[in-house]
Amino acid sequence: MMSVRNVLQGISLLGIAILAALSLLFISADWLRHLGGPLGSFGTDLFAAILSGGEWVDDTVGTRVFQHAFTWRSVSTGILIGIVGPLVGTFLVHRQMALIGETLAHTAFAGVAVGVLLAGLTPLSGSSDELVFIALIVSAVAALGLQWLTAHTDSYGDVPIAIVLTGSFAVGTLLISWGRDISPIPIEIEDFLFGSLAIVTPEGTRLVAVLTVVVVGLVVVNYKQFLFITFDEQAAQVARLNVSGYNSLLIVMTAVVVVGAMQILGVILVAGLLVIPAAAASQLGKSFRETLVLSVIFGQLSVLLGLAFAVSVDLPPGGAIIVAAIIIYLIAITVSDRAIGQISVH
Amino acid sequence: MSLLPLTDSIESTYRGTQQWLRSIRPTIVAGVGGTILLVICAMNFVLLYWLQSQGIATETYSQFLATGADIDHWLGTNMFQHPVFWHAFSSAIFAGCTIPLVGTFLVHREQALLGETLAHTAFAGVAVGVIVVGMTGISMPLELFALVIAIAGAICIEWFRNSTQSYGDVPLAIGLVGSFAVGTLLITYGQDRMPLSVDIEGYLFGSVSVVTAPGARLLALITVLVFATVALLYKQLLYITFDTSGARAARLPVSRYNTMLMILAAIVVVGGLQLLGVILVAGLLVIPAATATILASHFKQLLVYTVLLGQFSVVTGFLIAHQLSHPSGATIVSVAIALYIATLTISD
Repeated sequence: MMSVRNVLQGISLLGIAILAALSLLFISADWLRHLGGPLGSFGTDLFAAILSGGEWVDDTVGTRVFQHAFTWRSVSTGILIGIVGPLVGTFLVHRQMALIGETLAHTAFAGVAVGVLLAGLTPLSGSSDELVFIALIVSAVAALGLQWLTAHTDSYGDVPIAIVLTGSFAVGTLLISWGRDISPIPIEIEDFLFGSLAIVTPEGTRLVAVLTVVVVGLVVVNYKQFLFITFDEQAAQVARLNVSGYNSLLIVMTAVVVVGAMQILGVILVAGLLVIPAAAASQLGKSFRETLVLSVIFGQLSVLLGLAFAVSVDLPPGGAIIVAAIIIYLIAITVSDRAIGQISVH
Repeated sequence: MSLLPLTDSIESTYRGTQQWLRSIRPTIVAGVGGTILLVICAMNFVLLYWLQSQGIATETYSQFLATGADIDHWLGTNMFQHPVFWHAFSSAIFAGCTIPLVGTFLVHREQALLGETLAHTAFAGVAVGVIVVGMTGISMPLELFALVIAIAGAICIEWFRNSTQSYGDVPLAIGLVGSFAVGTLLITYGQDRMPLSVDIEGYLFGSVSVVTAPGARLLALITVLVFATVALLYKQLLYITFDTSGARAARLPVSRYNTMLMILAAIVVVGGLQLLGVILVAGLLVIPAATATILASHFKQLLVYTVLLGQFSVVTGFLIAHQLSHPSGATIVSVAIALYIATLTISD
């Protein structure tokens, strides 16, 4: 029984690794081909090879999607955020910070608004990748601000979260309402709210690729420390671990992941990809490591199923991905005989 | 049973705050008087509007608007003489006292984010309403769907909380994201297939112009309901808020009161939806209560301050939004946050 389980998990992980490698390969090719020189021509060749591979897939399966660079961009972005979202989310859920992703997404919305305003006031062009970049900065700063606020007010933990969430959305709304008059760019606010495959640009894809590599690397390197502060913060403090440093790192990583995933999932739904696969995995995981693995598998499954459904019936991808994740969660609850939220730690 | 946890280190700053509060006591009394006056005005208008639509008391109604025109004349404005303005303004006044009042209990039960989840559930309700109205052609107010779905959501969350041992915020997060996802899918599906004109941005951001006469009437009823419930069950609510296990030992039906509080929260959230929008309505639920918590020394005072702060934020934010044609939810929450930050700075 155990071994079947392990083999299944191993196969899934291998599949995800192959998908991630393909995505990264495509994104690097897309990047390299703009560089020129020998590297550039290599990138151009690779890019053409991948697209013709896509054409072959289209011919075999009878679809008309994989031959377009546009599809590759959004699918590879989806695959990568399907890995990092649940990865970071698992730590958040077990630290009882499930709603922090929601809050940071709303601060990212304020960041987009700041970008729209800056595009009106400065020579910035206000293209959607610039907006995403400004959102990244604003959201990371807000993440640290939120941590400070939680540490320095006496209120219950969820009050600062609620205040920052609604506050940044209010400020964002005001800025956009004001910026619409002075800013030259016609911004599709609904795209940022609901998520859209149309706003995934080459630059946005590149950003997601870089953040995936960085976040996965950080988690692998600091795995033991994160595990320690997640399940026993006081003991970690006693052991002279730099707890507030690791807390800041985790929360900034969350901000970065949220902004990357926001392009496809939208401001309001992005937190779902962090929380729901992790909650489903904690129903079934026998150890924290297994929970982490399962959450990545569930996250990836939700993203792929959701994207496929959204593309085939032309609905927003964010909603479809989250509904897929919730279906997986409900199945996990039914299958597991465990009370919700219990978990063992190895 | 300590109502507001205070450590020794902040005891002295707390005393300083209390001294400052005593010095502005006349302002607080004036604020309470003003709030009561505003609520009476708003109730009057809603009642008169309803009566004149039934063909009764039309004269008193036109007198009311004539007084509005007089006020406009003195102040040099152009608002108080228009029924459309009064629909929105009275809704704002009702929302400004009921939403923060219910919010106080939620904040002190550590359920600050419940309102956020219920608001998104209500959005799914609006989406269901859009589909049902689009398919059957029966004209029903979307708020009704929002109310039913939000109450159902509240009961589900309460059940989930009781019957599972999950961390409190996971069900909230999943309910929030899940209902919004379903809502988005339904609305996108409906937009392509049905001839509808739903102002989705109005529901998301809140707007002064979408408030209708039935909306104002609904809020008037909600206000009466909420104040009556809180007045009648004040002791029980206080007990279950600050000492749940004590209340259980005293054989109070705690889970029934819990469910009732959740349903009240769902009702006020739906009431505030038009004015504040899905995402920001939770701000009015939480922020005035958080600000008042810094200032108040006992629970009654807390409730009074909360309502005052809420009312001030709503009226100021409403007037700014009305004058500059910004989304009203954003201006109201911004004023509330400015008050919160000012209070944090003063009490430091």
